[in-house]
Amino acid sequence: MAEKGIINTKQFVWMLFIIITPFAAMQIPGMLIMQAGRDAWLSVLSAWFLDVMLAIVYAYMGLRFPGENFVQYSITILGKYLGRVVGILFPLFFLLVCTLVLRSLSQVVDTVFLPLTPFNVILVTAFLVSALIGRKGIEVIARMTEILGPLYLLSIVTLSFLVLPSFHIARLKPQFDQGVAPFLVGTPLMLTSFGVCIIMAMYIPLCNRPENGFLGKLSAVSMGALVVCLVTALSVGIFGMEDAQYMTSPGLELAKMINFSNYIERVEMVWLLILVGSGILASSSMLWAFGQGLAQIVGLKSYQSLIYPGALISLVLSLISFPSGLQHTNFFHYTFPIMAAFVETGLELFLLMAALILHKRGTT
Amino acid sequence: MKMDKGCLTMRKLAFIVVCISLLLTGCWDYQEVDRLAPVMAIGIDSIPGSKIILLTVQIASPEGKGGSKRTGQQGGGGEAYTVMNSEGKSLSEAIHNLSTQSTRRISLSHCKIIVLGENFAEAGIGQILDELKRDRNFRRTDWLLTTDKTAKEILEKDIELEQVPARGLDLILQNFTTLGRVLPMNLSDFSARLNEESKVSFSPLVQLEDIDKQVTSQLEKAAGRSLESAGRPKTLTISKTAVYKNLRMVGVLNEDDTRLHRWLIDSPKGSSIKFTYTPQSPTEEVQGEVMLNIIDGKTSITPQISENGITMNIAVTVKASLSETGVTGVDVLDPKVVAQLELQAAEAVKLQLEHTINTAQKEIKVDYVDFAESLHNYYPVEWKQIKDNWDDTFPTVEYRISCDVEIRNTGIITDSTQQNESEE
Repeated sequence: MAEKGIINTKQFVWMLFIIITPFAAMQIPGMLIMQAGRDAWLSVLSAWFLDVMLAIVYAYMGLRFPGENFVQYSITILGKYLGRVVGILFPLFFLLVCTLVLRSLSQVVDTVFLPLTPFNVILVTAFLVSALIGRKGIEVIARMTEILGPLYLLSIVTLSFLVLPSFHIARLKPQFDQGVAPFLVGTPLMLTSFGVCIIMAMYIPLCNRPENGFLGKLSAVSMGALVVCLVTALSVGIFGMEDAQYMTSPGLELAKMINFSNYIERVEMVWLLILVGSGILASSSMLWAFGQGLAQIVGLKSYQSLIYPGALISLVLSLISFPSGLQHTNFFHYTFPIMAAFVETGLELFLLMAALILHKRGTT
Repeated sequence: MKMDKGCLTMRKLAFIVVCISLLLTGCWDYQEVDRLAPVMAIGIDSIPGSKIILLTVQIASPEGKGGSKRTGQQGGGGEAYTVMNSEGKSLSEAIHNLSTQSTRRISLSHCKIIVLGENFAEAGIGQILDELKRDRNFRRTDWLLTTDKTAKEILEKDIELEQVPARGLDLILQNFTTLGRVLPMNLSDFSARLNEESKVSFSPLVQLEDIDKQVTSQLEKAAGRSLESAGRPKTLTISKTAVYKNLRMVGVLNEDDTRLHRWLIDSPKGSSIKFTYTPQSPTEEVQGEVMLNIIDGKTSITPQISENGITMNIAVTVKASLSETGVTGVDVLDPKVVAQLELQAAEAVKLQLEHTINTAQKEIKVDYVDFAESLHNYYPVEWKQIKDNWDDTFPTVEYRISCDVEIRNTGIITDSTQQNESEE
C-alpha cells in the first residue's frame, strides 16, 4: 500500500464533516433555495436520509473487500482492464471536486474580501497550500481536521444563535406552497453535495476499525446536514426566499447580519476563516484521494509524486474552464449534480450489483 | 551531521518566512485609515420627472473628532463630519462621481443610514435597491429611513449630543428596536417585505421639526411677552411611518397609527396605552388620564375563510405596569378598580387598533397590516385564488379584535396621595 498512515474513527468523522462544510459555506444553500424555495431545509433532511442509505452500501463494500478502496475493488470485481476504466472515474471525480471547491472559495474571497487582489493570486495560493497538505499524507490532514472540525462546527452553531434575533418564522411558511415538486428537485441536488463523502471509501481501508465506517459516516453527515439545514432555514427566515436564492453565499450574508445587542457585529471574518480553512482542507483531501487512486490504477509505489501535477491540472482546469464566476455557478448548478449523481450513486451501485452477481469478495 | 541538518532546516524555514512576508502582504487591498473617507450615511434625492439621482453623503472626519462641533467651527480641530454631494444616472454612478471631489477613497462599509427623499420615494426606489444589495460594502443591517423633505436637508442637520448625526440616527433607531413606538426597518427586512405576497413595505419617516419654536411661541402667547430664548435650530424627529407599495411610497401613517401598526405586525412590547378612566359608579367623580407601560405583549393575526368571506381574528395580550393615574385618586388597591382599568384599557386599545386598520383599508388602501401574509400562511391553496384580486378584496376584509390587558404592577407606589385640585 502506498499510504502508510492509519486514522482512527474520530478523525474519520471530522474529515468527512470538513468536506461537507465548504459546500454549506458557499453557493449550495443559495442554489438549493432557488430549487426548493421554503422547503429547502426539508430537502436537506431528506438528502441526509438518502445519503445515510448510500453510506450503508459504501460501508458494506468496505467490509466485503477489506483493506481495499473503491478503486481497488473495482479492479477486483471487473478485472484488470474494465476495472481500471471504471476505477479511474473516482480519482478524476475528486480532481473535479477539488477544482470546483477551490474555484468557488477563491471567487468568494475575491468578490467579498479582497476585490483588488487578482483572482489568480488567491487561486494559486489556495492550490499551493492544498497541494502541500495533500502531499504530506492522510495523517496530516486527519490531525488538522481533528482540531479544526470541532472548531468550525462550534463557530457555525454559535453564529446561528447570534443571528436568531433577526429570524422571522413566518417567512418559512407556508411549507409545500408549490406542491412537493420543489422539495423533490432539491433533494437530489443536496444529495450530490453530501455525496462527495464517498471519499469515505478511500478512508475506510486506512481506518484502524473499518467496521465503524457506517457509524462514522452517519455522525459526520448528520453534523454536516445540521450545518446546511441551519444555513438554509436561517437565510430563508431572515432574507426571505426571494432574496436568499440569488445570494452567492447565504452563509456569509448571515454572518454579516449579526448584530448582537450592538456588541458583537461585523463577524463575517469568522465565516471567512471557516470557508477558507474547510475549503482548503477539503480540496487537499480531494487531491490526496486523486493521487492515491491514480497511483493504484497505474500501479505506482508512491502517490506523492502525483499530487503536484494533479494540483496543477486542477488549477489549469479551474482557470480555463470557466471564463467567469457566472459559468462556474451554472456548471455547479446544472452539470455537476448529474456527473456527481452518476459517480456517487450510479457507479457504486453498479459495482455492488456486479460484486453480488459475480460473487466477488475481497481476500482477508 | 545532525547539526548541519538542523541548520539546513532552519535556513529553509527562514527562506519560507521571507517569501511569505514578501508575497502574502495583501498589498493589493491595503487601505490606510487616514486615506479613507468613511461614509456614515447616504441620502438619495431626485427631481420629479427626472431619472438623475442626487446623492448626499455624510462623511465622518476622524481628525475633527476631538473637539465638540460647536467650538470646532472656530478652528478647534475641524468639524466631526462633512457633507458631499454628487449626481449620476444611477446610485453607483453617483458614488463614483464622488471621487472627483474627494481627496480620500470613499469607503461605504461603515454606512449605517440610508435616507430616501420624498420625491425619490414617490417616484420609485427600484433603481437603487439592486445596487444596495449587490455592493459588498452595504450591509443588510443598514437602516432605511424616508423623509418628507429632501434627504440633503436631513443629512446636513446636527443631532444634539452626537458628533456625527448619522451615529445619532443610528442610536435612535437602535433604541427603537427594544423600546419605542416606531418599527425600525433595515435593508434586509425592507427588501424581504417587498418580496412578500402583498408587495408592501414601510420605513420610519424622519422629519425636521422646530420643537423649540413651537414651545417658545406657546409660552410667549401665554405670557404675553417675548421670551428670552436662545433659539435652537430645528430637530430631527422620527415618529411616523412611510408606507411603500410596489417600490413606491404611497402614504404616511401618523404617530398613533405608527404606534399601533407596530403593535399589529411586531409586538406591543415597549409601547404604552393612554386612556381616560371613567369609574363604574357615577357617584365617584374621579376621572382622568391613565397611562400604562407595556412590559410584555403579543399580537397574533389568524385568518378564517368561510362562506361569508374572509375574517381576520386579531388577538392582543398585554402585560402592563401602571405608569401614571393623573391626580385622580384612582384606588388601585381595590381589585374591582384594577379590573375596570384593565377593561377600559383593552377597550381603548381596540378602538385605536380599529382606527389603524381602517386607515389601511379605507384611506391608504394598502395592506401594510400583514393580512395577506397571514392568509398566505394559513390558507396557501385558497390564497392562490384571492391573490390576484387582493388589492380590491383587502378594503372589504372583516376583522375581529380581542384584547386582554393585565396590570402586573403599579410602579413603586400604590395609591396617589394627592387629591384633585377641585377637592382642595
